[in-house]
Amino acid sequence: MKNNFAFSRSFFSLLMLAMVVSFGALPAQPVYAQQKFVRGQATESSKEDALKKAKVAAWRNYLGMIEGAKLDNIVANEKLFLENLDKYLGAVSVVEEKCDGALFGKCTVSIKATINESLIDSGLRQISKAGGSSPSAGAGSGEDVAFLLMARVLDEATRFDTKVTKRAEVTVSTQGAAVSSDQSQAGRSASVEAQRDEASVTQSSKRVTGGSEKVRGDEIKYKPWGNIRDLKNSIQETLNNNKIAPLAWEELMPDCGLPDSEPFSKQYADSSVGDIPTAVRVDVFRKLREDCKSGAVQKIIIAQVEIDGYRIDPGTGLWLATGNVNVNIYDISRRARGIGSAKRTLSGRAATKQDAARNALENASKPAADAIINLLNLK
Amino acid sequence: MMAFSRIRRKRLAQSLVLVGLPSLSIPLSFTGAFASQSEKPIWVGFGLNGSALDTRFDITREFVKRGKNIDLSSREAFLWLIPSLDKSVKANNSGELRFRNTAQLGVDQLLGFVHDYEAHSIFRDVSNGTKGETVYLIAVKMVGAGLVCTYEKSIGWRLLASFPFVMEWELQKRGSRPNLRSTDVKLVEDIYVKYGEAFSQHIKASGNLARTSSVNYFARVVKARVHPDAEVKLQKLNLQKSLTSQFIGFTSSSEICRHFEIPLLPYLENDALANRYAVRFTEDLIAQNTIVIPDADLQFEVIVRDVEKELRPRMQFGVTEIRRLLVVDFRVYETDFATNQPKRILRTIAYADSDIDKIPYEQSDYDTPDRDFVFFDRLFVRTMTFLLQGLAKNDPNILAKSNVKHAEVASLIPRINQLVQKTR
Repeated sequence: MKNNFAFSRSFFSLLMLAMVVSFGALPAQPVYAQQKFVRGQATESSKEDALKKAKVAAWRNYLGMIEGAKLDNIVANEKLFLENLDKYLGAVSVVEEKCDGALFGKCTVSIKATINESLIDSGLRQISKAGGSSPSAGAGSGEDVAFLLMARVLDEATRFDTKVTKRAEVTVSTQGAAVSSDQSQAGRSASVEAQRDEASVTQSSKRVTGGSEKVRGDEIKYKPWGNIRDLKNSIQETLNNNKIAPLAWEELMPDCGLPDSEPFSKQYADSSVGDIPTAVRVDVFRKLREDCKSGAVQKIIIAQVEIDGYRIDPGTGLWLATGNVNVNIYDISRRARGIGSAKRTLSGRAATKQDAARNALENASKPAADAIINLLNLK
Repeated sequence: MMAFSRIRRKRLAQSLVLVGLPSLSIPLSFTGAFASQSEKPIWVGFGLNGSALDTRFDITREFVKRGKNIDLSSREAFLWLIPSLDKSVKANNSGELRFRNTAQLGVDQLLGFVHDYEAHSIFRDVSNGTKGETVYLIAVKMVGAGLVCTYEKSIGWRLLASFPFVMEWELQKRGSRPNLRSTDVKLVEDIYVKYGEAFSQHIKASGNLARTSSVNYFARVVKARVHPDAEVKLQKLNLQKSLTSQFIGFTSSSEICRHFEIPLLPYLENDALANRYAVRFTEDLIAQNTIVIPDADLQFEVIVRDVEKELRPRMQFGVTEIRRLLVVDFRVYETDFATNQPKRILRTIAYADSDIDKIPYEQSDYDTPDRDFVFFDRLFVRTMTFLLQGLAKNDPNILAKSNVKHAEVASLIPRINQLVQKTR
């Protein structure tokens, strides 16, 4: 058994650098996972039983680390996971065991284990498959699912100059009181309201000029991302790997009288609220429900990806593009009721803004697909 | 007395000399670093474990900028170091490491050397040169770590062993006051070369004895800070920017590693650094963004609780004695596996007896914050050494040197050592 630490991101990077520095090019390997450790402790009459219970406790510890649709899917099928717990818990180490030695005594076992998330994800897929999923639909429903993807990137952010308004402040001092008022620099007379001693008025006065600042919020403009095919293919690949095959929009266009998907990204880019116009969405839903010659489409996945900021990464000197992906799934057959939604942040770095955005969008594909899979499986 | 006398012994006649060998903290044994001969790690090189902009890398940043004309954020910042480092590591570790042109992820273990922390002080030595010149001492402290890791596709990166170490380096210079950030920036290259040698010796010492297994039980310094009361005093001494939480955290990590002979999770991680190197691995950005240091099971907190400095002028001897005191609040926690919450098992206050530092009578230019920092650093290290050794060996005499009463901690020591054993 090895001394296993999860790897810090810093050192990960160092090693990558160092390998290149020292030995030249290495084969590029995608990295998807991070080692997760869980702890568990249980007390039972025998060591074996305590160990079994400790594993269950460790499993529950893992459930505390995840959230959202994935958690719901696991909880809904937890019995299946618990039956195969040894498969999902790796490198189980008994950190401590205490048995009191009495005839009917108790044993307490503390364990630490790693979680094999790849196998858990695989387990979820198997559950979905066993549920009778149709190759053209999600999560065993046998229903048709449409997939609409739109992406926008920050075009420009109009930064307004600070507007400065100068004001003059007049202070009138008297023996009995000091009063002040604001007046515009245009020279309107001050309105002084004060109780003061008439006999000792206006001993001195001073005029102070200053300014007030007003800053208008930056105006952000987006433009549609020109080539979303790569992004779409990337998401669909992950969906297909998970036995989810949404209907291609191109196929739905002639079948349901739908418009090309391209203008949606334009409408999304133009939208100040980050969505396509409600009327357009309602019309799409109606067409999918009523106009498709091959039968109604029951569900639609709408994925909206945006790059909303660029900055220079102080560590790398590279452009860093950041944004988020929003996924919404609707049940069109039931008044377009929302099945679920998810939001994930994303980022990408590169020497140019364009490449940074491309990397960020590429990075968006897996979290977007994962969100879709879990939402559909949750159903 | 120890630290200062060591400095004084090292006066050399040349105008500029490197003094002595690096003072290296090498653990007597490490377990779990290299599992077997068939799994010898591949040596992969050196890098910076922190942002290129971090103030704690001021010397290195200025050095690569002025001395090498490279920005520290550049991927080429340490290319110059690799040949000498490779040579040193190879000379000391040919039996423990593999030296290859390629490493296969998912198969090979990898060994890297990371630089975590640096600090330096420059102050007047009490001696004069042979021709009556002013003599300055440059004291440099470097804290790094050797890390062994592997990668598995299903679970990602695994850190198999992490062992921080410290190198202290002293230089003596005659004439004008040295400045590592400008005029004497080239000196840093020599320091780095020695730092590499120190690392390779460190690996050699740890690798020879690393043979047993671990139970995924991790230790880490989770909190290091200066108590607000001490902070006020440090500000008066103008030490608030040098005797920092980072100084405490990195130094205590290496001392715990050394005296308990255990690997420690990194004290600090820095996102910006990781991303700096991501330029070559853009496809791995998501993974980097999600990689975190796991929870530690055995946790340490180190707090500088108090500092004192007292000047005692002794006119008849022509000196001013400086006595310093540094009090450490040391806490150990274990994670309760039933609740996943840390449970405190030890809290003790420790301090080593003060050095007596002597400077010429009524010559205040000797009494500077840089001088204070070096002595407080040594005081801190000595306190931690006596405390940790005393606990590890359950030795009342050693504990007494850190002014910890054995009777007050005796009942807790077996549990601490039991937990320490688990991390090996």
